[in-house]
Amino acid sequence: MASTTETKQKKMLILKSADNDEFEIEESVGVQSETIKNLVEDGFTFVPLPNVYTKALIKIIDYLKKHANKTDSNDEEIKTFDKDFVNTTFDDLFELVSAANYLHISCLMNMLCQTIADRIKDKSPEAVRKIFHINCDYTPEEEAKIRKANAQAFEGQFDESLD
Amino acid sequence: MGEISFFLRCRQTFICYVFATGRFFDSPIKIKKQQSVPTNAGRGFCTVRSRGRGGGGRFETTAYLNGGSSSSVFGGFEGEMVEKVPAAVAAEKLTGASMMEQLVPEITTHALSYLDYPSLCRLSMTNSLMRKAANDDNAWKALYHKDFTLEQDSLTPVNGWKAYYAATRAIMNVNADFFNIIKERSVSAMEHFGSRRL
Repeated sequence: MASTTETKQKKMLILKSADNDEFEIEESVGVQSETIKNLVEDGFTFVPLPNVYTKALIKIIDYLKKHANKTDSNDEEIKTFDKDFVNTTFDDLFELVSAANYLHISCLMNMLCQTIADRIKDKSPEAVRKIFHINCDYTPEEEAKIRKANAQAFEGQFDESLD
Repeated sequence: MGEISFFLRCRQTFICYVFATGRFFDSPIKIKKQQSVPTNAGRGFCTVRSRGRGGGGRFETTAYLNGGSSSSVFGGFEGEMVEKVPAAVAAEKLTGASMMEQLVPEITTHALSYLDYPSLCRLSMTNSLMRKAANDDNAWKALYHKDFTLEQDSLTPVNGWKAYYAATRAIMNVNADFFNIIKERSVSAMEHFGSRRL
């Protein structure tokens, strides 16, 4: 508990990422995460996050700060921020969603899942494979069979792009 | 007495021959008859063929509602649920490059719960692990409640939620067709509708 820092009577928390970087945030910002909230309630002010890497943590702290200051007047601003926040690569989205899940930030979790779903919605199976870095483990016969079984899902044009 | 019993035996033998011949010629016909009898009698299922109008394409499904029968009439739907993931996937898991496997199952289910019916079907095309995720019962339950009704919360479909969803969707399409016909008051369309259902 030596690392506890008190500034301007605001309780501060230290978050430590998986890359051993430390971030100082206000307690009111941090408690939006259920995981951090539980630790704070148990009296911790130093929070190691072995599953969250610095890159994702920086973005998530940004998000938490923005959403901690939510008022009626900056509603539009937050919406724009959220839009920019999810406007990133799939790999970043996956990293963020894992972190959000670990930290139990449900609003962020919903937003990220919605974004991922929206973006793969109209993709062809081939594009989805590339996005998720998955190999097709079906034989051509199996693939034909499944395609036939799900025939109505293969009408119209699909998005082949990877972003 | 002797003459009478001889006569009786002769008659019996003759009758035997007649019966034998009768059976011989009769049996193939009987078999033929049996074949022509529809085999689906006496089972509690309903068969629905529908053609999605709004979707603009062909959507034909044989829907089993609480059929209890486990035969895979449901095209791939039902079979997919039961099929096991091939051993190849386990090997791939060890090499572990795929994002999908790095994500916790809860996250996958959560993300998939935002997808719609055709997207989930297409997703199951990508690979067997994805198919397992896309066939997750909870995702289909959520989708069912989103698209149709929240009322049947306590219900547990025999063949899983995906099959139940597909069946309900088929019925909804038939209903929509029917109401369109009623609205248009078209007799010829109605005749066509009746014959198509059979």
